[in-house]
Parts: sequence; structure tokens; C-alpha cells
Amino acid sequence: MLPVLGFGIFAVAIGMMVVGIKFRHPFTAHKVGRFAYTPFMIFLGVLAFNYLLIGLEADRVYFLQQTVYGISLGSVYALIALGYTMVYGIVRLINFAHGEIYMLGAYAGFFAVTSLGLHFILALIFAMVAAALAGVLVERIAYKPLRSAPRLAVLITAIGMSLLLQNVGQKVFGSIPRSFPRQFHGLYQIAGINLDQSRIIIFVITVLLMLALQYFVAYTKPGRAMRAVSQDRDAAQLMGINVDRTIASTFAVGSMLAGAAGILVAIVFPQIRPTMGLMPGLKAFVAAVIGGIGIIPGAVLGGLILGVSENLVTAYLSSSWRDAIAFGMLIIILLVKPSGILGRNVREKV
Amino acid sequence: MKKYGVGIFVLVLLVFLSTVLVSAEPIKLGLVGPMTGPLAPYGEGVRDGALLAAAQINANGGIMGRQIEIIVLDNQANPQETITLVNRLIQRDNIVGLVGPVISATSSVAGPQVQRQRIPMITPTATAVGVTRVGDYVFRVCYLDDHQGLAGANYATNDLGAKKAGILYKAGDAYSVGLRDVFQEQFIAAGGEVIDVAYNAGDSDFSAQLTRLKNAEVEVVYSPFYYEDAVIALKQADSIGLDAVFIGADGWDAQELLDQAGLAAVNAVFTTHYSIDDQRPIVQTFLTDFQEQYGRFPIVLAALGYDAAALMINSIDRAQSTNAQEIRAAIASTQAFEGVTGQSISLDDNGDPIKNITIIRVIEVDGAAQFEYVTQVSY
Amino acid sequence: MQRHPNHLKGSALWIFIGLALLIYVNAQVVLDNLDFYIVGVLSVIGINVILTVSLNLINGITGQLSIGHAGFMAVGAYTTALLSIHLGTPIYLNLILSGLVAGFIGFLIGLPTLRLRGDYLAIATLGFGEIIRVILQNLQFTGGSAGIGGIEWIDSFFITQIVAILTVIIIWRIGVSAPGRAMIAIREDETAAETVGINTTKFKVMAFAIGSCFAGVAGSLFAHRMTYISPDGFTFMKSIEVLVMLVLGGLGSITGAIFSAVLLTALPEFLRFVDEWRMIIYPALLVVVMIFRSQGLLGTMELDFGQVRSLLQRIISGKSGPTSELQADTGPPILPKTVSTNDADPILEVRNLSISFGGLKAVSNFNVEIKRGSLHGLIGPNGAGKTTLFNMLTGVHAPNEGEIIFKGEPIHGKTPHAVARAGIARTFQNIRLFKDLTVLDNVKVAYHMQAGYGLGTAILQPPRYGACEKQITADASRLLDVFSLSDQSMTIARNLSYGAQRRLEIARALAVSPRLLLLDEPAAGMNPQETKELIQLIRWVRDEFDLSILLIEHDMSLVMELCQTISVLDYGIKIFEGTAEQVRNEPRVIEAYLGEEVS
Repeated sequence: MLPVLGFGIFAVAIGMMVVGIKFRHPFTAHKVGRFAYTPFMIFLGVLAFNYLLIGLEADRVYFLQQTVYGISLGSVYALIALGYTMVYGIVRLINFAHGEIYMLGAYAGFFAVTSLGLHFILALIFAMVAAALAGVLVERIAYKPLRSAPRLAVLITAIGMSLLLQNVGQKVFGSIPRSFPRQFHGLYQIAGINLDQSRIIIFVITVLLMLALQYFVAYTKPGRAMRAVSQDRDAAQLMGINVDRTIASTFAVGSMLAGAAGILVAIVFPQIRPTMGLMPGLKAFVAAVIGGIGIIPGAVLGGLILGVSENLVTAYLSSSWRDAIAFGMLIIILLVKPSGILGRNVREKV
Repeated sequence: MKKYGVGIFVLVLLVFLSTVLVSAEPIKLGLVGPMTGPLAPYGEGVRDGALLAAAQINANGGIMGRQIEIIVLDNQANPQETITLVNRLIQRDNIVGLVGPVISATSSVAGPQVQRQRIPMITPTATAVGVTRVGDYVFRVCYLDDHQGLAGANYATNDLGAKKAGILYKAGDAYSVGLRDVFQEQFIAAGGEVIDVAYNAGDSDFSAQLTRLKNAEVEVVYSPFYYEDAVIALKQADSIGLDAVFIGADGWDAQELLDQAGLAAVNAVFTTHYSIDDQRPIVQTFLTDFQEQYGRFPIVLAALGYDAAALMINSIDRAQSTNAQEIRAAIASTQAFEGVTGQSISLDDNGDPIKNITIIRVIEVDGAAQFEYVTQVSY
Repeated sequence: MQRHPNHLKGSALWIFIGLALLIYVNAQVVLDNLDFYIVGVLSVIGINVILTVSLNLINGITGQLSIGHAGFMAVGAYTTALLSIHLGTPIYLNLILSGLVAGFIGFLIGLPTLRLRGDYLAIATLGFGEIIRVILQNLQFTGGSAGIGGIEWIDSFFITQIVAILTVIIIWRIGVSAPGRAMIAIREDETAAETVGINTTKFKVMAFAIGSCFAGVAGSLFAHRMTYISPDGFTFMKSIEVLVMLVLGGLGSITGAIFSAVLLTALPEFLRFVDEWRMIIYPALLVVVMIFRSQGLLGTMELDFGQVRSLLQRIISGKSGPTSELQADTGPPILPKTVSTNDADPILEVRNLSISFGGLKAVSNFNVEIKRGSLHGLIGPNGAGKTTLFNMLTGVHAPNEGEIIFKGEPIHGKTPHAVARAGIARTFQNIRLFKDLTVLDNVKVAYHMQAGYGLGTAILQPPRYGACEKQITADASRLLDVFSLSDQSMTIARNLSYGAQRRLEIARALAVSPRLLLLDEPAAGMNPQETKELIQLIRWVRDEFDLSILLIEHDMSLVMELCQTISVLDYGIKIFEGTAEQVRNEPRVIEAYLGEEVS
């Protein structure tokens, strides 16, 4: 009974998230065809099968507990991946410095809470604003002069910015990790599963931010401008869109989400360090590619898939294989469907 | 350009030296360790400890009428860079002895270099067994993974009476994996059952691993890693309700553990190199001088850095020579050397110290966590 | 200094002499004061040169974004470690075996992965690099996370220098040879490369495997130098380090790769006095260089002694002009004329060809026969499916239904390069030249199939190599002469006038020695005079090369004057076929197409 219920909750959660939004490719405005659901359904099917198989056979509470942890880890990936996907979708740039923006967000939140003594919500906003500023600054300094440069040069610049921010972070914040003061003490138990308040909050905020972002990109004027720039920068310029400003605002929005991820991760896993952005940054990119890069629900879906499967690997196999499995998943997705689970295959025009 | 650069370098060095030079030329020692990057706190701790040892001796007039100078270079914990730096210290700076490197991986590559060039090296902190096995010029002042893992396992079985142990270790980390192997072997040999789970570098969520251990109903959790991960593990174990006793290793010995983990750390024990409760004057002087000098509490690696430098300087003094071979002989024949991390340290044929392992427990005093000395075990 | 490695001749010898000199100087340094520090730094430089130059073959020359080079280095290093410890094999053997193992792993990984492009490929190679590391970390016999120690220490200074020089020479020679031109063509335009008969998959995988092989060799040297290795040494950051060296020097430039490998290895040694700030200065420097010189310090320039020499000669003698070897000498006909066996047989037969894209039938039930030696026109309004038809004929798109019979053999479903090999060449509506190559190189690339030598010849350069290359250059020059492009043979293709680009594209197609030439709007963008010349040219080409030509064109005067048979396509369906006269009077055609003008 319980695994079925657990599966139901999980399916409804993801289902609502994905199906509840108009299924539309945010940057190309194409309706995503029916077939886009198929891999998703397969994923759910496999998940359901797993639930029935493992959940019934072994300790189902344990399994569900691990899934819950996976979802909160996945939420972090998802939030970072949202920013990655935004920036990639519009500028076609793997913004390696995104992970460091996330780190800066965490530190901004830390100082807001400890030095300024702000309430969590205010600290969240503070972190988001600070991250947005940092993101725009990075864009202005490092990426804007390289608009017409070769792709690899921009990629290298992004890597350079990432290293720079990380090392400046170590100088400024010190390389000793900081403990983030605990914000939420609530602990609920549902059917023997522990649910911390902070884990619920991170998941809820992730979903809310994703919906807000989807709405922003699909229905607002700046969102339309972003989609236009993503399709054809020159044409967008001719239509009177300020391309530079649009790209800057893309970075601002993407970085804002990374900032939110930074402070949210600090309330669940209460330790922050200057190097914290490296691995989650890479993983979030993997998540974005798995879900379909440039697609907003895809980033969240990819993040959750990655988070849950990483945790299940830890729970049943060994964490020492975890990264290999994450990258293995990425490669399989890339080879089978390079546009990601929710992506459309684009044919090159000859 | 190459020659030119070397020229500039020599010039800078000369200018630098002329300011330092007071009477006689100082005796130069080298220190290599991570001063930047994620491992910087450990490198800095070793550096500060070693510099303190040199400063104390210099304040007393140095040895053989000469001052001690320690040249510190940053290897970022990178083995390839370590080779370059060690060669540079030996060839360019003409050091008579090397203190360091800090990490086992870098010490493993530094060993063959000093051996080849016949310069004695004392690593303060490299616990991997193989480090000192490359030759007779390589020494250390810390005990080995083998000893520490053994002490942890013995404490778990004998003192805590545990039958089922969990191990949480850091995948890909030689120190962590090495200790896991020893603990596992010993604990199983003593009739116990072990379940081991790994995490990866940079992880800040151990919920999945700890839940797995909780599910397996382990009585102790052996946790061979550094304190910043220990903070996460302790806090999360607390929040998921895992009440097994955590047994840590020397990486736990840091004030930050108490500051950051707070009461979640209570009841945990760990093996380490010395106790700050040790009332020997050398320990207390070290603690006060260090805090006076640097304005912070020393991490345990600082004590090892201090001892490594002090042993090196002491050996030079005993040899009454700056000849590398004679210094080597003096180090090798060390008997009953008193250091912060041991009352009477001797070195065995491998160049490894024979000393005691200290066990520390975290207790609650007036609502705050605090370290308490438990016992010392020998091996 | 000049652009691109592929017109460097004899310069490899100069490089060799230069580097030999460098070794000699280094040897003096070593013998004089045995400074392990300098020797060590030079060894590291050598290893980094190997890594960077080999990555350049993949990223720079072939244009495939790989950011997982450290993985292959790890494979090489571990192979050497295991060999050295368990079998005690000598370093020379270790170098070769490590290279082979790493190259083989590179081949295995490259085969499926290189289908991906751009960032996706980059991220997949990153993934593979990490997977290799994690596997090493988990395997027992590699020592797991603790790594392996006790590898024989070898004063690898000389060996490193020699291997580095060999690597540079080999990669350089590959870069200037026919296989290298194929790789460069892939970088410039993969689709166009396919249509001149280059098996892009083969050459991508080849470049990837060779690059991995040398990474393995570097790993082997690394292992012998370190004596102790662990998976930690081969993280993502190591790959990035190599990539940074490559991009900073200038992607695609071997000179740049060497330059920046030396610079970035030596620079930190000079920055020691700012030790604490080094990790901030280094990335900041990187960002600044990228911002102000995004093509890298040297761009794609190569140091070329031959060029310097000819420049000096020019200055001394006061003469200017192209080098003599490029002037077309009168010789045998450009292409061997094949005797048509049976003129009555059609060269191309298309039966019931259909294709649809997501529900839209772009071409349906198309039938056509093209006779040998004929000039066949294909007209129709925009969006009628003409280019789609070309794409199917050349294998770019596989048809959903129907058959394409060329010279009696079915070719549908074949890859574009196989179709090109069978004897169909094409041009593109929107001109797809190798834009950053010279005019001459554009044509030389297309002589790929005639090169008649492989990788081994390219690297070893036996006398045959020189003869082959000379022949290709001569043939290409003559072809350019025909198309009145020989004056501009050293111009970068993107700087040509529009008409010249069109002509070059036709010349390139002819270099494939096709029996059937497909021209997609050859007169687009040409002025009436140019069009008139083009008509002459197409006729001449048909006769001279004994070809059949199928052309798409909107310029009716050209089609009507040139083509014996014209097919009219509308909404993917052939609505009419006949002579120019018949087409002109056919009401359906007028309605569908010319109708616009009438009304």
C-alpha cells in the first residue's frame, strides 16, 4: 500500500509540475509534440517498477526516505540547472562560472543571516539580488566583449571566470568552511518518513521559481525578447530589441536562481565553502542536458532525475561509483537523444 | 628569457637575503604544502607550526650560532608541482632539509626526489604507509594510517563493545580509504560486522549514507575524514536520529569542529596526535605562543608541523653540521625526542615514529561541546 | 608568420633543426650543472607540449571540442605504472604500449561520441574523462584512490624532449597532409567535407584516437617522472589546464600550442614571489587574454621558416608575386577522361522518390532519368523541394521511399561521402566553402580521394609523398586556372567576391572527379555578364570533363539556354518535364511558376 501511495505522491508531484505547465518549448515557441512525453512516461514507468520491486521487497520506508533525500538534492541541482539552461538557451554559452555564482549566493545569504541578522525570506531576496548583480557583472566584464568570438574562447573565458571567482572567494571568505545557522527546525513524519521543514521548503521554492520562470519567459515582454534573441540575435536587434540588455537580464535572472539555490542548499546542508560551486555546477549542467538544454521544465526534471538516481546509487550501491553513473547517464542521453528528454531534435539545414 | 628570469630570481633572492642577513648566513630549510586551494587550512597550519618552531629557536639565538630560515612554497597539493618545488628548494635555495609535504600524495612523489639528491625530509602529516619506504632520507613525525585505524577499531570493540560498525568514508581520498581498510580488517577480525558507505569530494549532503547506516542499525560509525565533513556528518546524523557513536580520526582535531557542530558532536570520539589538556610545558608553551603569534587556535596539523621542524632543527644541532648526510644520520638516530605530539619520540628503521595515539572525546559542559582527553594507546 | 598549417612545406625540417638545437643547449645545461630544478621544469614543459599539441589535433585541426584529455593521459600513466611495476619493462616499450592502449580507448570512446557536435561533444568527453578517473579510483589492481607508487624513476629529460619533438613533427605532418586537410575540412564545414568524399566519421575518430594516443604517451612520461600516480592527478581540472594552454596559444596553431605550453609552465615559476596571489592572477590573465585576443596569442598563425625565407628573398630581389610552384604548368589534362561505355544508358535514374519531414511531404513520387552528358534543369518556385531532392541524391537526407540508381548501382541510403566517391559532386545554394582556408586549399581538400596515400605516408613522408602532394597541388592549380582563380589562389576563401566564391565551389566539386555534377543555383547573385560567362563555363565543363549536369536555377535565361531537358517541381511533385520550348509553353508550369510574371 505504502509504496503505491509513495509512488502516487511522487508521480503527481512531477506530473503536476510538468504537465501542469503549457508544454511549449520556451525558446522556440514550438509546441512540444506528444512524443516528448514518451521518455518521461518511460521514466515514470521504470520508477514505478522500481518502487514495486524494491519497495515491496525490502524496507519501503527506507526506500521512500532515500527518495525524499534525492528530491531535495535534485531540487538544488534543478535550481542551478534552471540558470544554466536559461543562459545556454539564449546565449549558447556553458556558463561555467554559474556554480560560483551559486557559491556567492550562499555567502551572501550567510552574511545576511549572520551579520545583518535578516529574516530568512529577506536573506533569500538579498542573496538573489547579490547573485544577480554578480552574474550581470561577470557577463559585462567577461562575456560581453566576446559576443562574436569563437565558441571555445568564450568557454575558456567562462572557465577562467569560474576559477577566478573561486579563488577570490577563498581569499575573501577564507578557505575554512562556514556553518550556516539552522533556519528551520520543523520535522514531520509521514508514514515513517522523515520530512524536514527545510527539505519541503527547498522543493516548494524550486517548483515555484520554475513556474515563475516559465511564466516570465513565455508570457512577459522581456521573456519574449529573450526568446527572440535566442532564435536570431541579429533579427531581434532589427526588431528593436536591445540585445545587450536582454542578455544581461538573462544573466540576472539565471544568477538570481543560482543565488536562491545557494542559500537554500545552505539551509538543508548547513555548510558553505568557496569551492562548493564546482561539482554542483557540473552536475547541474548535466541535469540541464539530461532534461533538454534550453527547456525550463527539462532542467527541473533533469535535476530531480539526477538527484534521485544519485541518492539511490548511494542507498543501494556505493557512492564511489556515483559520479561515473551520473556522467554515464549523461552520455547515454546524449547518444540516444542529444536534445535531452524533453527536447526536440533539430535538423541542420543544408 | 629563461636565463633572464633566473637572473631576476637570483637578484630578488639576493636582495631578500641581504635584509635577513645579520651575522652569519642562516641555515635554510624548505617547506612545501598547500597554501592555496581547498586544502589550504592544513598547509597553513603546518606552515605556522613550523615557523613557530623556527622562531622560538631563533629567539634563543638559533643553533650553531646561526639562525634558521624556512622557505615556504605552495604546491596546491599538486604532485607534479611538488617535484618542481622540491628540486627548486634543493637546487636553488640550497636547503639542508625539507619539512613536508603535507599530503600523502605529494609526499609520495617528494620522497624519491630527496632520496636521489640526498637531502633529508621529514613529513609532518603524510600518514600513507608507502611514503617513508622509498629510502633512508625520508622520515615522518606522525603515526601511520595502520596505527590509527587499528586504534580506532580497538576502541570500538574493546571500550565501546560494538559488534556492528558503519564506516563513512570519502571516495577517492587516499587518507580516508586507507583508514577505512585498516579499520574494516581489524574490526572484522575482532568478530564484528562492518557496513561501509562512501561520499564524494565536495558533497555536503550525507543524508542518504547516514540513513543507510541507521537502517543497518550500526552501533558506531567510523569516520576517517577531516573536520569540515565531520561537521556535516554529525549535524545530519543528529537530524535523522542516528544515535551511533562516531569515531573520528586526527582530521577531526580542530576547534572548528566544536564551534560548528556544537552539541551534535557530543559523545563522538576520535584518535589524534596530542591533547591540549596535556600539561607538559612544551605543549602549553606551544599553545600560548601559537595563539599569541597568529591570533587563533592551532589545528592539530600545526602541532605536527611544529614537531617536524623542531625535530629537523634538533637533529641539525645534534649533528653540529649542515651536511645532509650527517643530519640524516642524526634524524635516524633520534631517541626520546620530546615534541608536542609525544613525550618521547623515537624513529624506527623505516623512519616512522614510535609514539602514543591520543584518544579524545567530545563532552557537554554547560551547554557547550568540549574536548576531553580520554586515554593514550601505544602500538 | 602565416595562416594555417597546411601550406607549410619543408618547415618541419627547420623545426626539427631548431628543436635539435634546443636539445643541444638543454643538454649543455644539464651536463654543466645538473640542475634538477631546470631539468624538471623543462621535462614538465615537454609533457605539456605533447598534451597540448595532441589536443590541438582534436580541437584545433579537426575542430571537435574535447575537454576530457586528462582521462587518456591517465590511461597511459596507469598502463606504464602497471607495466613498470609488474613486468619491469623499459621506458621505450612503456611509451609505445601506453600510447597504443590510450589510443585504443580513444578509438572506442570516439566512435560513438564523435557523432555529437560542439558543446554536446565537449560535455560528453568531459563525462568520459571523469568516468575513466572514477573507474581507476574503484579498481583494486590500480591501487584505488591510494594510487600506485614505486614506478621506476627515469631521468626522462632527454626522452621527454625527443618524444615532444617527435609529437610535434608527427602532428605537424598530419596537419599538412591529405588526412590533415580532411580534418581541417571537417572543422570548417562538416557537410561540405562529406560532399567532397571525406568520410568525416573516420577522420574524426582518427584524429581523436591519435590525440588520445599521444596523451597516453604523455601520461607514460608523467608516470616515470612522478614514480607515484593517483586518480587525483587526472581530474577535470587537468583537462582544463591543457585546454587553456591550447586556447591561449591559439586554437589550431601548433606553434601557438608549443608557445603557450612553454609559457604557462614556466610562468608560474616566475610568479612564485606573488605565490599567494598566483591563483587569482592566473585565471584573471586568462580572461584578459581571451577578451583582448580571443583567437589566442598566436591565432592560427604558424611559424614558417619557408615563408620568412621567401619574404626575405622578395625584399632582397625587390620582386613580388606568388611563388613559382603555384603557377600552372601545361601538362596532361586535369582529369582522366573515362570513356562512356554506353551512351544510351542514363547516368542517373530516380524512381518514386519521396521524403517527408514531420508530416510535410517535401518530395513525393519523384521520377527522373538523366542521360549521360546531358544538361538537365530543375526548376520550380521556392519551397518546391528542389534542394531537398539534391540532398537526397547526395545522401544528406535518406529518402523515405524510392530508389536512386547511379551508373546502374543503387545509391540511396548511402552516406554523402560514399555518394561523392561513387561520382556525384554538388554545390550548395548558400555556398559552403571552407571559408577560412585559402582558395588553393579548398580545391586541394577536394582532391582527397585522389591523394592515394594514407596516414602512414603522411607521417613518414617517403619520396612518394612529395610526388603525390606535388601532383595534387599541380592539379588544383590547373583547375583554378580554368576557373580564372589562380591569381587569388592564396586568398582566404571568405574574402573572395560572390561570383568567385560560386566558381570556386564548382571548381571544388570538379576536383572530386564526378560523373554527375549537381549545381544548386549557380547563377544566384551574379550579374548578367557573370551569368553569361557562367553559361560558357558550364558548357565547357560538361564537354571537357565529360560530365552530366543537373542544375537548379531561378535564372530562366540560363536554364532555357543551357538545359536540354527541364523538370518542373511544385509542392514536391514533378508537374512537367520537357525541353525548354515545351516548358515555356506548358500552361501548368506557367500557372505554377511563370504565372506570377504573366499575371
